[in-house]
Amino acid sequence: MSNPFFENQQHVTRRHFLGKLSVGIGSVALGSLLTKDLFTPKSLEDSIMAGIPHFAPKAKRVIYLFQNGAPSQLETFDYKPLLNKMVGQELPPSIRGDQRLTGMTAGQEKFPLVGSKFAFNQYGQNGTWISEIFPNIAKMADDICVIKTIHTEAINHDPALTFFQTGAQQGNRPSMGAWLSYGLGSENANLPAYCVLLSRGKGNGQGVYSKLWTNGFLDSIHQGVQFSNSDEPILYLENPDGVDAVTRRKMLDKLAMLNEENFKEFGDPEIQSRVQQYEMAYRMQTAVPEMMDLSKEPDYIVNMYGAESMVPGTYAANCLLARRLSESGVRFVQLYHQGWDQHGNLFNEMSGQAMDVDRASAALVQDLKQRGLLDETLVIWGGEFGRTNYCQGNFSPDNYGRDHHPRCFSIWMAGGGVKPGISYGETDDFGYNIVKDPVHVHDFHATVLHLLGMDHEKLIYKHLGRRFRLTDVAGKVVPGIIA
Amino acid sequence: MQVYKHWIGNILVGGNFLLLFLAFSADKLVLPSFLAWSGHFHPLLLHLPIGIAILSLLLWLLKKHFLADSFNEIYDFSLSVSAVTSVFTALAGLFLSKGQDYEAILLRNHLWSGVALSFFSWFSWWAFSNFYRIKPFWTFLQLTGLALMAFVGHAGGSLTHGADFLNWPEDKVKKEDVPVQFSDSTTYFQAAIRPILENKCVSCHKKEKAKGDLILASNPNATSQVWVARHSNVNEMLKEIIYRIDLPVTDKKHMPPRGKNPLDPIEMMILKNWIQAGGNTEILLTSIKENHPLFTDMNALINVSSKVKTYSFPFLPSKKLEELNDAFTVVRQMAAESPALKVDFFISKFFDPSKLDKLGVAKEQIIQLNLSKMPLKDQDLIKLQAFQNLEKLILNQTDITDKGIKELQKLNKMEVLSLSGTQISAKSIPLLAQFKSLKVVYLWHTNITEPEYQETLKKYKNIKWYFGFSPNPDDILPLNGPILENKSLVLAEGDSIRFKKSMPGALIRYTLDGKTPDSLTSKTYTKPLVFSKPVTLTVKVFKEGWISSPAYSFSFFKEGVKPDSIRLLSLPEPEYLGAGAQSISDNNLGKIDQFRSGNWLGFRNNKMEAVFRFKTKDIPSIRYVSVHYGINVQSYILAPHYVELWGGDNENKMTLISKQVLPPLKKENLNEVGTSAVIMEVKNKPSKWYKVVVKNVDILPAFHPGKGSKGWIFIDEVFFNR
Repeated sequence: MSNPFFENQQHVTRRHFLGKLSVGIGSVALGSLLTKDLFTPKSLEDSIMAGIPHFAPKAKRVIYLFQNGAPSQLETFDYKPLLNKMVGQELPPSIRGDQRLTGMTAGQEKFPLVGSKFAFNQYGQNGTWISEIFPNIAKMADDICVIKTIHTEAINHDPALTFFQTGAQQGNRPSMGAWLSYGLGSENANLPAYCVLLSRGKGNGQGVYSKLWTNGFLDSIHQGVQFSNSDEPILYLENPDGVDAVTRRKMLDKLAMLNEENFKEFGDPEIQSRVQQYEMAYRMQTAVPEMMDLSKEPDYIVNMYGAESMVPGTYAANCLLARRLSESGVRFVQLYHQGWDQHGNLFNEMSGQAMDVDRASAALVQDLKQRGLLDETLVIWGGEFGRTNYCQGNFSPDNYGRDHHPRCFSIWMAGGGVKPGISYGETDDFGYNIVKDPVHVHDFHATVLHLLGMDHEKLIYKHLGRRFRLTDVAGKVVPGIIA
Repeated sequence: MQVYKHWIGNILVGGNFLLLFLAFSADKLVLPSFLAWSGHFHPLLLHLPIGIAILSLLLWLLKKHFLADSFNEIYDFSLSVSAVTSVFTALAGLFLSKGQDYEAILLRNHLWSGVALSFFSWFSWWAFSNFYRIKPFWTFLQLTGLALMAFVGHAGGSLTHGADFLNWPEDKVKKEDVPVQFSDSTTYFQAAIRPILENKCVSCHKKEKAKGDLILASNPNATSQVWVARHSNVNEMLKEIIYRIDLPVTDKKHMPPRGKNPLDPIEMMILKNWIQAGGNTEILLTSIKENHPLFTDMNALINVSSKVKTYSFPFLPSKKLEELNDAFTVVRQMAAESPALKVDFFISKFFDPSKLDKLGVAKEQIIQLNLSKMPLKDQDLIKLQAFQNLEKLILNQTDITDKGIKELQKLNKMEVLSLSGTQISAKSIPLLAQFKSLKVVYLWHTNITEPEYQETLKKYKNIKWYFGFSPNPDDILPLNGPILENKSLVLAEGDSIRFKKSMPGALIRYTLDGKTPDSLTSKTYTKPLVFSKPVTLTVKVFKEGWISSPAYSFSFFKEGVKPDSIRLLSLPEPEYLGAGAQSISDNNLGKIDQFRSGNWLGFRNNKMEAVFRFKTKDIPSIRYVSVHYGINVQSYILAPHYVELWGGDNENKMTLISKQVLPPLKKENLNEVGTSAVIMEVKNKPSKWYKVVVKNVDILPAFHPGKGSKGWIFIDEVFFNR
């Protein structure tokens, strides 16, 4: 009697059973009186399960290029010449207002403003301001939509990252990719609907961990699948020596039978998830080699993404892999590039980080475009918060750092029904507060779901007696960035 | 009995006439706060007369079940209580109405019908003792009472919960869901402004209520000017609206007032922008062009409100839809309310052109078809003609050529065609330009040349052509180094060295003497390499049209013979003790960025001195002893100054077998990071004891940032090989 399940069964007496039954019948009867359509099959959850968008989607897939550590908006997309004029002067208290600070600068006596050491220029038909560290992204200014007024509530990496990924700071909620997998299913049943690729720059880094691609309370088939950094993105995909495809098939069939018996006995839905995952792994044995096959692509694809794209585990290689996955019908490809946490030594570190991502990010967008896939693939580039307009630590105009800043920062999106070639929102001359068109993280989620044909208020899952959404109880679609 | 009736009679006379008086003077009434407060009991009290009146009716219907005398007493009592509670309810209601903003007409109806009901109840009680035997009259009286009560109740419910509160549910749904139908004659006002006013403003600012003397009346059939203000100056009023919606919510003048449904930021923006653009109610959607101030708002609005593109073809029965799907063919509805379908094929191995025939049952519904990477041939394209509603077709990386393109011309609704990665040449372009609805064509990585691109762009402007990326011939990129497949640089007996090419078609060349491989004479890697002694391979990758990779060095070691005991005679620095003496003889190499990992021993103030002992009867004949070390010049970690190997059969009487002095640090190696090894050959006869001495650099050279101070050495392994 060591098995808790059997033990539990032993404890269920006839009295228990009948007692529960009467309450059950009563509440069902009452429920059906109160709620119209309770027993009709077309409930919202049912239609979600069918994997059909609520309305015509603009985007079918997402590639999220997460810049982990929070790149400074002031050195990338939010051009603030005033900061260069006022270098070394104190941040006016009226601008700072009641903004809380991190433990790293809360004790700082002075908040000397510091401007970008990188030059800015205007690009594209609408004159989007882009810093010189992104020459390739600048070239495609007409394809991207820069949002300068994203803002968040968290002030430290883990909660901010978790907030961006799951819509809540504490964790344990499903992440964006899991919600999409749940809401829209996989396009290609032979690959996971949600894939995760990691890379690391040389800059000061922050951790990423599997809770960021969790399925939360959703079925575990929606969990993100982390790919390996090696030249084999999925390990152990080939059959071991001495096992051929037929043997493997037979083994899986037998295993499925055993699992089915187990399921009949225990009724745990995770058993069925497991069976589905075995089946997917089997089909991946064909799908992945085809996806990785380079023979139909020209050598010069490497010229697009940069030479690094041939080194497994780099950001460039991950961008190339992301395009292949997305092209093969993976609903949500999540990249994380670590190393954007520039509390100090900002100039050198950001130059290096930008070198890592500039060419490959631009190549990814252009590569999707030349295959006719950009209009149905949403590419998102951005970090978890912004950085302060004042210097962290000892100030010197040549070597400075910036602390965390949640009030405003910049991201860009491309394709997938986003209005191309625009900058959305405005911050004040100090780059500290938003003056026009704020976009909260919840709004960002609502908009992304909208682009994928989902009403963020209808994509729900009932758990612990409550209906949950990615946007929790907030979020508004931002019409100004929708094409 | 008589006493209570007497009192009730008095209360009813007093109460009802007070009610009548107050109702007439309601406009001028000023209430003391206590009375205004008592008005809050109206919603509670009103249930009493309703309940008691229904009780009376039931008593009347079930009269024959009661004793005649009891019935009379009970019935009389219930009527009297009903009358008393009615008058109090009406009074409370009157008091309540003074504190609130209610719509005038509804309020008037409710007030006067309430007064009437109170008088009616009083009359019923009085009439009972006189007329109730006249059955038809009494029945009529009862029914009148019920009807009156229903009317009062309805008016009251409409007041508190809105006029449509008691409407039938379907009517309400219909009212909310009427979508805006855009046509050429739709005005911006109709599309954008009126819905906001109706949802958020009109409930207070209409004819019946007219708060603040502002009426925003709504007439859904009018095209433009559907609202009027009592203000003579419309512009003044528009300015006032902006002023008020911009005030903080806590301000008394803020609109909509606190507690009412607020404007959301988008509505606020749309309303403000429209007023700032002149507040024109007549401007047509079609006349708002790119530079118009309302252009952005209009686009945003239309996009958010436009839902599914409508199609007239029917839905495919869901069972048929299911049958079309398998793991490699995915047929999905575009959206929940749309019959349109999109089809994707995956995994070329399982594709068969006959699958296209199978899709015939859905030929009307399919509007998007993705066949990329499938082995689709020219002769299969004719099958696509069945899909007459096709709007987007992706044929990337299929086997089609110019020959097949003409088959696609009959797809009259096709707007987007992607032919990237196919053998299409410029020959097909004039034909594609004639396709009826075609708007966008993707032709990246085809046989079309650069001059042909340029010509196409100039000549056929009705279609957007995308040719994508073409490499700049001057943009020659460096190749990456080879990928070493071995997990460890320590090779067990029989292990081979395996490299993988980082680029198809590239050549890997290597040398064994530490020289950089050249592209002509150096050995080419073709199969896994096996060596009998420790080697350092220098490897470089070459390919025509590419800059060769940098040279990479890999030092391989053969798994060493493990001594029976190891002892350190000198202490490493306290932070870098590794796992003690065992760290240098566990066949595990350390990683260059993990000096604290336990694999490394770090020395600075002492040189490393370690003693190794072989106890076994047949002492292994060691031929090579290698000392493996790490380098990170910027972090003061340098190659050793010298390495000595001692040996002998007695711990205290060892002789020097070999000594290697390493070349001093050169300026060009200031940024060097990596690992290396000193390999010493042993020609002596086998010894029981060995001693290895590794000396660090004592004085860093002048060009090093730490000039003058001591260098570090980090040792991760000492190999003893036969």
